Amino acid sequence: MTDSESKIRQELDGLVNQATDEAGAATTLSSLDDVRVRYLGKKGELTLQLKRIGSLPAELRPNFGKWVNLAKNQVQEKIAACKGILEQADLNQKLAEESIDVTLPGRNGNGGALHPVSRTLQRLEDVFVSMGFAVEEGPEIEDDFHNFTALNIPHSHPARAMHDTFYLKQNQQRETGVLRTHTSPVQIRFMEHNEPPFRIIAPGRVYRCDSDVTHTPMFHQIEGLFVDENVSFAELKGVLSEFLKIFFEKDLDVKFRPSFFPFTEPSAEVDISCVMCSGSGCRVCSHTGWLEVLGCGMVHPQVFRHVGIDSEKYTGFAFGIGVERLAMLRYGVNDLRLFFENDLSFLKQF
Amino acid sequence: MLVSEVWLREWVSPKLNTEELADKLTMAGLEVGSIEVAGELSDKLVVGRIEEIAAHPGADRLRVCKVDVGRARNLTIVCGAANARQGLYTIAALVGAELPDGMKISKAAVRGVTSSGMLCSASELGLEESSSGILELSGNPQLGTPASDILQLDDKIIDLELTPNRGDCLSMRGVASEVAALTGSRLKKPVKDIEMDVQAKARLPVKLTASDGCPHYVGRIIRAVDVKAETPLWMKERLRRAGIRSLGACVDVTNYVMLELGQPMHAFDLAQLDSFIEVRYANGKEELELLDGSTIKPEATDLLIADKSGPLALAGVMGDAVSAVSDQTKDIFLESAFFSPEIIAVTSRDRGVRSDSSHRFERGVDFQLQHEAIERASLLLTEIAGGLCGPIIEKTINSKMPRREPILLRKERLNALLGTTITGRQMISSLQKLDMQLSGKTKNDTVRVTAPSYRYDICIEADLIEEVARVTGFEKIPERAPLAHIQSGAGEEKDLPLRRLQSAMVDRNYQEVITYSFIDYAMHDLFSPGLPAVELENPISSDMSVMRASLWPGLIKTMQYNFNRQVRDLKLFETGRTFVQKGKTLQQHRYFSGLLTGDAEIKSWAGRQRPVDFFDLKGDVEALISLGGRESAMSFTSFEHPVLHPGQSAIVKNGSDPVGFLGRMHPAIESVLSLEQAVYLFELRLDYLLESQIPVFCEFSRFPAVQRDIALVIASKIPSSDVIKSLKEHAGDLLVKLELFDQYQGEHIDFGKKSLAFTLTLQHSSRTLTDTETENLMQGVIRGVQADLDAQLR
Repeated sequence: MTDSESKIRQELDGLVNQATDEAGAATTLSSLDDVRVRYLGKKGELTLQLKRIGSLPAELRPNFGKWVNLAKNQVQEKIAACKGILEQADLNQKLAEESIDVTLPGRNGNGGALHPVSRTLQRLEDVFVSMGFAVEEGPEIEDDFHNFTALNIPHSHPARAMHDTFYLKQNQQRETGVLRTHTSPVQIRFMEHNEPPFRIIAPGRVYRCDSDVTHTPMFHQIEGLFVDENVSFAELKGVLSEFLKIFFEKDLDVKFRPSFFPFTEPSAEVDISCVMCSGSGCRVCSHTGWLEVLGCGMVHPQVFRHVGIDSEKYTGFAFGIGVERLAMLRYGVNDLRLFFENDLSFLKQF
Repeated sequence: MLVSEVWLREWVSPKLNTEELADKLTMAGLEVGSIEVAGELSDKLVVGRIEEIAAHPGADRLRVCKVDVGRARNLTIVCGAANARQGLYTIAALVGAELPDGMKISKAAVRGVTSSGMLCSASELGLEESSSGILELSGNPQLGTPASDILQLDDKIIDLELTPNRGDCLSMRGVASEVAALTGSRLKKPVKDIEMDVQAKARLPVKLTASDGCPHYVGRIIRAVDVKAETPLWMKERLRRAGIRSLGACVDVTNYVMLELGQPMHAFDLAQLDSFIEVRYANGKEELELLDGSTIKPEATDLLIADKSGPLALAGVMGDAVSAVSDQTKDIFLESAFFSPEIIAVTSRDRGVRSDSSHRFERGVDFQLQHEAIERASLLLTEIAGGLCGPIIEKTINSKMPRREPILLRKERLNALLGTTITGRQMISSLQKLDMQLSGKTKNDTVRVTAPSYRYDICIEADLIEEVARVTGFEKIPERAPLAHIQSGAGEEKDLPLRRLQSAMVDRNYQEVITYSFIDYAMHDLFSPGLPAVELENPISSDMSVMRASLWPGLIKTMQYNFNRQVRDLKLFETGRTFVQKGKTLQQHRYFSGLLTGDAEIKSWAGRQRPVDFFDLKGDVEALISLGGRESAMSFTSFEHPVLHPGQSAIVKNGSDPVGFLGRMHPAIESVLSLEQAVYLFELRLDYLLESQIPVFCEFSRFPAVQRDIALVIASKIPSSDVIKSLKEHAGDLLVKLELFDQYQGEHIDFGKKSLAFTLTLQHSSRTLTDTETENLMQGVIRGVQADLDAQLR
């Protein structure tokens, strides 16, 4: 390499070093751009080097162009690298500035809830509707016939005393009315207007003139009725055992005990192994390991007779479930009266 | 029914312990509610005999006894009881004993004499409420035996929670028969059939005037009864264990026979009876002062026991105070009758009088039991209180006696109803265990069955099937998933499920509540002025005495309850029926109602707090209505509702049918209720909300739409709905969308006027609208609203 060659190379290296130092020192994108303009711009120092080519000895000319382009590339690369770093820093700063407290609550969160009795009713309906039961409704102020007589509870029947009936004040305009003491009258109203086979449930409010720690004067029941040819007590057991296991989502022990309801024969009460202690005995099951959860039975022929259904051809079963009772067991509610106090501290939990 | 196990085991004693026996009963439909021991006494209460008795040197009423309690030396015990006497067996509390009331016995000087214990009365042992004198034990029990052994206090009391069909189990014999049937154990007969010797010629005529109510009456006079005789301890204990107080020998014996055999009885003071006994209906003019102190006026449906002078007892329910046995009674008249269950049930309920007797009669007492019971009672009474029995006076009207008709039972039907494969042999054997009589053509498949006279619950084939199932055990019936015809439970598509509405409101931050259907009269009057109250005859309390005619009072009550617990921002809804008397019909429509008060949004760092207003309310109501897709048919118009602010309330109509109301609560009502913040309410007929419109496809335009904004100045009293109606009418079919985007009053607008600004979107179904067409249309629209509403373009 000749002296003049190495001198030129030194000059160019010096420019490259100078430029890369300045680029490295730039702290903003605009000062970096200033560096670019100063060295690589139209009148930049490296750009202007090419204009020296005419004044150079002939043997140097072919390489000089290559050297300048190499130098320009080196500077360009450095600037690009610095630009990347500065852009990243800029973005980082922008992101930092835009950070928020993500732990602050969101806008208009959901503050509403269903009443636990509605929630339970919906669940009960889901279970039975999926078994092919249709949902029916009936009036809450009933006449004596539908609430009692048609259900085989004549005026003189001692079972009437168990019902603690609310009566409406006498009025010349209407027949005497009672607040329905159970949802069973919906059975009668439905059967008066429909031919078997059918499967229905009837949820709703019922009323008994009784108010203490374990009784509220209003509560909810869901009535079930399944009528077809060849329906037996075995099917009653099958449907209700299945229902209880699905509702409580447990493989419960289910026990059917003989009982008495005027509108079913045979009648049974159903106990399940306690859902709180799994049958080992606790306060909820009075240390018996069992919980009484519903009443049921085969529809009494007298009831069929009242609605004109041939009890030789058709048989059926009926059941009645206390909704608050199931809600208490399902959600661990320990006081029945909470359901109708409507304290938001209670209701918001469901 | 409280059943003493010791007593029961005298009748039937299966090889089962108490718990196993209780489980057997429960699983046969005689539910055991609880099992308790008859009593618990300290071991230091033992049998003692008074060997010597002497006056107390320092007190007239006290005496000093030497008592043998089976130890080497007799104890010296000071006693004040009048019946303390030499040779008496009683219970001595030794030093260190604790009595049921908590009293501890220690060696103590009583007026200078050291007493090493105490002789106990029945009340001190917890066996009676009050006693006179110390307990007297009969026979010669082993001295020093603990009192709890002598009194059999480890006896278990089984509480049977009997269903009303099982009146036959309201006696020891009834329960024992059932236990025998269920366990196969032999029914013993500790009570022998007897016939008392007639020692007195004493008769009283009996007339059965109301033979349908009383077809069978058995009576007997017993003369010279010592009514003050002490009821023996064993009988008192059995009565106590059954929950019945001892009230003197005559009453105790009748109660005892009732518990033992199931026949309620009554003893009259013969001296108070005038000429004859008549069983008849009340004439409606009489009064009766009953033993419980109440005075009643029997009605014509009530059966009476009467004599020549008038009524003596509400038959089968309770006697009167005058003819009852008293301390002065010498001769008694015992009654053992059969009364019709229906008549006693109605009387007991309608007169509000209940007794152990009515409880049994209304469930049915064995109609063949009366004679046996009176002989049993005569025996027991004469043993305890002496007396000379007169002849039995028995009247029967056979034609009015209950009958047990044979019932056909088909094995095939039994298995069809139960889903079982019970054999004819099993079926028959179950029935025989229950003392059912089989008669007629008895084949294995079909039998004729006659129920015993004590069973009132066996009337039809299904009753017999239940009996077979009970004896066989319900657990033997298989569990089977039903095979049924497939029936879709899906309703019609137009029926919106209620839960869709509930979910929508929950998602809009509403809390569902369920309030009582009965409310305070004052609240009814405030919220449903002018509507007649549907009142309860027998409310729980006065604030729950009227059936609600609106859901608002319940929501308001809930609001106040939560206000009192520092919750002031509330969005509540409830669904349920209201009760309104309209002429002769009682309407029970279902409503969906809501209440809003406090801040519009959930309190948040992000939002500005703003109290709810009418349009929050209306937005929620519109959201509910739109779920059914029927918003175009629904209209809101200003409406004066007595409960609502006259300037901020509307009626919602579906076409011309009213659907409900919404608005701010009337300030006058706010002040009656002392409310400090505005409350907004809505109430909508649920039936309208649940009926949805099924969508019908409409061809829509794919050509460009044009939009034009106009601002109109009109009198501020003109509702926006009128402007919209006019704009739509004049724009015609080309108007595909109309938006009201501004309402303004103030600067640049004259007083009494307002500006409404609209965007009209116009579109032709089959081509692009030209500018000229659009301009002409807009001119027409503006002229139209000018003409209709005197609107000026702003």
